[in-house]
Amino acid sequence: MSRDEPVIPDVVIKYRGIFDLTLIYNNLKLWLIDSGYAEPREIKYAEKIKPGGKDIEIIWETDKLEDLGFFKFKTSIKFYAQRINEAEVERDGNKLKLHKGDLWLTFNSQLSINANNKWQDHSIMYKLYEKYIIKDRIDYYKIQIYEGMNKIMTEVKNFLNLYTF
Amino acid sequence: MVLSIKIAEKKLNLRDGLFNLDNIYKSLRGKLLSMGYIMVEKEQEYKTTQYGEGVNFKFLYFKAFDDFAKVDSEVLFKFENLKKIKGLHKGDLALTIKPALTLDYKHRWGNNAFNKFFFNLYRKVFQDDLKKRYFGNVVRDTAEVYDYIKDLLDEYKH
Repeated sequence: MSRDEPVIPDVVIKYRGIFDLTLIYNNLKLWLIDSGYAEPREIKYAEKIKPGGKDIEIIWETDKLEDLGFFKFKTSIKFYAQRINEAEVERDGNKLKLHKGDLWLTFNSQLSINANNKWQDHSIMYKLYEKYIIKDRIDYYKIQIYEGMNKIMTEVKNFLNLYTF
Repeated sequence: MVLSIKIAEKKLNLRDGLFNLDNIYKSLRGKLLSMGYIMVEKEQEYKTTQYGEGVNFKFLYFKAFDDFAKVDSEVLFKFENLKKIKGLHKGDLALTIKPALTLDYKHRWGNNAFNKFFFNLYRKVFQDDLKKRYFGNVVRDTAEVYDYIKDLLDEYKH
């Protein structure tokens, strides 16, 4: 059995204003693929039309294998857009159709150890292997996930004109 | 037995203050890293209201003292009614620092009743030692972070 260790639990970016949801949606997919993740699986897409505007909820899951599948970086991204209305903005003389409303993006990342179930969890060999041989690699991959996801979140923040380090 | 102990919060409220948001955001990270903490941005919020802009930052920072105890603290900046003035922002700020100490974070002492008994006994008998080794450090570090933020905000401090 594989074991999951959380690395980025529920990091949220909240934005209220004018944004291009289509562009964020498409670019986020590209950034994930560029970072070596598999194409995100859309496990939920819900759209509700309400008097104040449209509510959209999208959940993506993606992963990336390392060390012949022994480690798996699991990531889920949740888009929650509320009270979305179309807004027309003029930029450089061109009229653009954007979205106005609230956008919440929630990021979750985990490191899955023994993802390919090659080892038996309770065996002494595996316990020794995990405690003495791959201990540093686990930390290394956790940092990799953290840095990778931070880069993607920075891209999203840049897109929304938010503060970045 | 993982035990999280909350320590007294520190709060700061300012009305109609002048802030350099970009400097606060970037400098705080540098300060926490220099103090040996790992910092994660848990939340960032931006909104526009009829009274101005609203920006919230929530940072988590943590550091392990040893294999038994670690600090898990949180800083929350809530800027409201912001208006841009010459590259700065004028508005209100509510700052909260929530420090917490986590004991036995590796969960080595909660696997059975015998272990739990020893863990609780240790906490009771070595209370002063725990205060000296861990609580004092958390309170000191929190005060340092608080003073640093006040410095950034150009406010009076002790």
